[in-house]
Amino acid sequence: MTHIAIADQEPELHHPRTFIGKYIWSQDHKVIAIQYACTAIFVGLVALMLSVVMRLQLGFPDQFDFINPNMYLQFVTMHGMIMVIYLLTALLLGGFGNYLIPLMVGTRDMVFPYLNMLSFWFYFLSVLVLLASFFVPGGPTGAGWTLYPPQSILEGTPGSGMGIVMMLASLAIFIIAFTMGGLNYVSTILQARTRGMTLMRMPLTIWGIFTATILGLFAFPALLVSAIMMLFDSILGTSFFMPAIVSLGEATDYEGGSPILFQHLFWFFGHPEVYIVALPAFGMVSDVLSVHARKNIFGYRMMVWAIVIIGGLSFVVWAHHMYVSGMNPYFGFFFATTTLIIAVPTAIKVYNWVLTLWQGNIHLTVPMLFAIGFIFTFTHGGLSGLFLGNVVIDLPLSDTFFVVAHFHMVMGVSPIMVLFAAIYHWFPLVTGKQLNTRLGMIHFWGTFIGTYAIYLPMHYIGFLGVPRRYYALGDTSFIPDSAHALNANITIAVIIVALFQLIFIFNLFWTIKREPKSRINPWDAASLEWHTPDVPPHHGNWGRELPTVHRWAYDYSVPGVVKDFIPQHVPDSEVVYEPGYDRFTSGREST
Amino acid sequence: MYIAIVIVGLVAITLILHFASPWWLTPLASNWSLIDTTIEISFWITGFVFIAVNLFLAWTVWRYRHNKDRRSHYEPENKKLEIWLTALTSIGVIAMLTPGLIVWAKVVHVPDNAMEVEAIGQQWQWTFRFPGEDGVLGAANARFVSNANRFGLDPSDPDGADDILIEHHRLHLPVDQPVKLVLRSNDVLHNFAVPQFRVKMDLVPGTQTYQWFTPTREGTFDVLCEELCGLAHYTMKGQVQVETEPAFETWLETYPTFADVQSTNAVNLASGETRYQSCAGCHGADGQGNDALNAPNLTHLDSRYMARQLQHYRNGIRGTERADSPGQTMATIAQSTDVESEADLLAYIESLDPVDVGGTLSGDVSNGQRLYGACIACHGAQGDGKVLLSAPALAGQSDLYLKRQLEHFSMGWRGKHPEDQFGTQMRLMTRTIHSPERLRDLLAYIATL
Amino acid sequence: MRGFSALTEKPWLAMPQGPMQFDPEGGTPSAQIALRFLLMVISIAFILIFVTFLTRSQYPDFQALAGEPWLPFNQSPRLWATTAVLVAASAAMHWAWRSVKTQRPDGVMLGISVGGFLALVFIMAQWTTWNYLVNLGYGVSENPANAYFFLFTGLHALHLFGGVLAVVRVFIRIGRGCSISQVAVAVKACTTYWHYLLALWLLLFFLLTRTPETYAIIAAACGLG
Repeated sequence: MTHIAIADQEPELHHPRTFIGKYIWSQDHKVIAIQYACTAIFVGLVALMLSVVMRLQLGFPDQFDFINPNMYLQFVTMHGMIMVIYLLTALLLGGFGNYLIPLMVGTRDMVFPYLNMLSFWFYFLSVLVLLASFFVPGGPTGAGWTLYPPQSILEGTPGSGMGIVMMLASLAIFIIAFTMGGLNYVSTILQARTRGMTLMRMPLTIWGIFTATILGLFAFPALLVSAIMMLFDSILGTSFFMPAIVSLGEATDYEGGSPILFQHLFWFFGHPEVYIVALPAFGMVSDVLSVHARKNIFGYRMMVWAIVIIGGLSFVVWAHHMYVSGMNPYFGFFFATTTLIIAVPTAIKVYNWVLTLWQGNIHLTVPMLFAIGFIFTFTHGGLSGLFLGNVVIDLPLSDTFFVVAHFHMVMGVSPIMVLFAAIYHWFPLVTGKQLNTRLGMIHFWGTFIGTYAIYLPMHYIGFLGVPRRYYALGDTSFIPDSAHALNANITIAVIIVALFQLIFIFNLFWTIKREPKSRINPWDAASLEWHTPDVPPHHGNWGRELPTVHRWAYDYSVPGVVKDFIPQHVPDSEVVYEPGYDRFTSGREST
Repeated sequence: MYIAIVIVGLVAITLILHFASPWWLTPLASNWSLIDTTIEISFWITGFVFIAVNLFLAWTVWRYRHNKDRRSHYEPENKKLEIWLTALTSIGVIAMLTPGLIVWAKVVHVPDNAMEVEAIGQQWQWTFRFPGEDGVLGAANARFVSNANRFGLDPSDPDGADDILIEHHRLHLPVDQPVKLVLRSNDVLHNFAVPQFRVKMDLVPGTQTYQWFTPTREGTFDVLCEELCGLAHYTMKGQVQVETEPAFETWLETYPTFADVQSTNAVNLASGETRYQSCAGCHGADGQGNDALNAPNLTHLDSRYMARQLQHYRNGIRGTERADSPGQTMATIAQSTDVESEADLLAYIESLDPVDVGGTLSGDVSNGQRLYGACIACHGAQGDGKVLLSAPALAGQSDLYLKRQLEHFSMGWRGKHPEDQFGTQMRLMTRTIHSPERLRDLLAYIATL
Repeated sequence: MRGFSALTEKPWLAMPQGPMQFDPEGGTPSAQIALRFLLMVISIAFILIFVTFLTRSQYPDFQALAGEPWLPFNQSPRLWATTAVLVAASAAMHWAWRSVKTQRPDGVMLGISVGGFLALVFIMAQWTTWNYLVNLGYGVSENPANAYFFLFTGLHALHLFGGVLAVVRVFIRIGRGCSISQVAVAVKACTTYWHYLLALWLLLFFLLTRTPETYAIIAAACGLG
């Protein structure tokens, strides 16, 4: 908090000289972003492996002796927690947020570079604590990623001793890391924008990250509070969430607490968390679609408002995760209504993405394919959300595989499609090289079709009433054998999709090692980050002088202009018009 | 280019899967057809949007694919179009939400003529309670739970005395009678769900929740716990049998009231000892069992467990497999035992000094310890069993007997009968053992307890 | 509001005012903005605990720490004393900030030293209060009211301790020869933070020493009864 904004300092003040200063204890937002991204992708791969093991058990029950009910629940829990928090939140905000914010708003670095560095190292520590929980006695917690008490801290649930304590500690450290990062992102966006960068000239990526960060800052305290209170219950024996209960035949000392209180706190964090992941993805996909369709984003203002409205509404819908939790059933009326209202701005975003493509000039590059794939998967996932949000439909469907299919579609596959789009899109900026297109295409088709093959049938398993978090189904009267066969097919699809991700990892290494340098700004993007003096940008990003912004980030195919895009920092006087084009009658010059 | 074709293809596959697949909601068995209707409405609306958006997307991608002679149309926004789309979306949302809220109002309001029944969840079994003559469920609290008061009823509440306790995983309900199912948990969160009834609700320790429905179809339906409740969550199953009113009444009469359960008859150990002499031939004078005769050690077992097994033998639930000769023998003997004085016999066996039968099998103890992790919750870290969880003691038992029983579970010789709730759970749990080597490791570890 | 009109701007239109419309120079320092957000974040955390506290206070097993003569905080001279320490700490920090404005380096050093030291004294005082409670048999797990007391005061003390670390940092920077104008923003931030934590403590003090009847009224007023 005691730093002076970078913009006010001498540009070369903090130039690191040693290797460690440059790459380990770096205060450069770009290095920190890459550190965040690599760590997040690494834990993401761990979580992917866990899901494959889980699916092996579900698809081929009891065929593999390396998994047992304990491990199954632990893997379910760790898969969920890692994917939601340590991969998606960290990669979208810590990775892309860090890299893109200073470049897109035109500043030399985050306003508090030291805090930014601390943020990464706290995040790294939280990942270490999380992974260490695999090796403590009893293993990691197996309480489900929602960590509902009482079972999460009672015998009978895997990892109810050390495991859950490590999980909660790791979350607390993560939240501290996120808060340090988040204060930075918000202050940088509010305070350090370059000349001419008005709020409404910011790319939607920044709007998405900005709103998501504010959501994170306001929502994570709920998780922190519930984690601390649960640690009290677990270690000190208090009864915040613990009623008088018997545990596996033994009376406990707990008295009078309320498990539902925890659920309210958890979901007060948990629902905004969905949008903490979704909003940056919304923003980034908007930019990718616009650049590769050579067309401005359709209805920019509506897109910004939608992001802000969705962010605001996300704080008043949390209890739709709790329709069958035993809370006061009258809450159902309120929360079903707010939940379905949120569908309207979300639908507008989908329409505007499609309308951005409409009448465009669509280059089907790899990032564009992922972005189009995202529209499809997100539409599907969003629509199935209308089932679950509508309180009565949630009765038969909640806690079944329908829920699993829905949230994987909407906050698993969709943000990951955007992440891939973003990685393929911004890779030339980060490394100066374009990811191999042929490998990228193979990766896209395997991922897009493969994930749909996983999650489309899973909805129907849910309709049948197959419950989630079951190690094995056993004999039931209502599940036909064909559904078991379907489950096996889903597992095969999972394995295939997982293998396709290896192609992506291979592509990263291959490109860095073998591919030639690509042209600067290979997609002809107009937004500021592509117009640094050096690519990849050097420490300090902009040479001697910060750029001045003269327009929004979406001046593509402007009528009468020779080139099909005008970079944000180009003043009107330097725009080259076609001979004979009268720009004063084209309507653009009036307010 | 392919992406447009693939999107059209995926839309087509989605539609085909939806209309042609055999996987859909299980046939309804309750009054909640309105929930199905709401799902139908949502399907038509969201289905329309899904098809419209994606086909338009595919067409757009195809029609406006890259062409170097063409430029994109420049149009920052189109207020009219956006307002139209917003309005249409809002109408769609209202069309889905309105029926949803109307039906929810019905879900929230329990009809006055509903019969009150309580479902109690504990790790990992279901039990049930009817209010009895007075029609009022007595007060209950987990604090009162003990081996003698397994339902945790408040002994000082007079309303509880006539409550009928169903210590069985199958609940019988009369057809076409609205039921208010009061839900209570003594330990962690559970969830009472019957897919055919459509409704479900969590059981929350420390408080009571409820759901209501009217069973409309006779038959037996599975009850699943659908809120993660620990290690054996997936084995926590019950059943609801819907039948005619007279059949239901007959069934209900066979269960005791709370007062019945509390008034324990004095046992006569001397009579038990006399009765035991006919068992001593196989199980030994001290009850320590005899491996040569395939007779298990009885001295660590609790009387509840033994009573349940005798009843299973008697009623053709255990020992029915022809190849299981010790089981067949015991089933025959159980037929001829006197049910009236069984309590004396079991009390006598319980009073015998525990005898530890040494292990005979060798195996990797440390691997066995790892495998035993799945057993600890119910059978205890020391293998001494937990009466409240209906889990028998394992420590001190003949390992050949344990081996035989675990094999029987995994082969379905034991625990396959739908009446045998805990056998069913054991059958699911033994599947995790996988191989004879691992079974030996496990037994070698249990022998060290 | 300026913010809302900014959101209706049509960015694709050329701006007659020219590109200088947004100018980052001047205005509030970033540290202030970040501090405001941080205080909001901390407030939300405490508000959420307040909400659970009020809900929990209406459960039958909750025994307030005041209301009957034998309860530990029915009379709370101990807490009044710690409050006085914190008020003094806040005043000292304010003095430091005044000295920044009047360009008096000695005053700044004195102010932050005393402010930081008194904050540590306050934390020590809280520690003795916890011991006092435990010795009286009001341990953390005996009753939810005790648990909340420990939770609230513990988190408050932890935040104060974080503030002390920031003050130490300012101290070191001045020691290394930073001028007053270079640490002005930091001193301002610390002062705001001290005032905030004082206000938070007063609120906690008020809340934790109420009688069951008062809790019932507050909970009912918040719709949590």
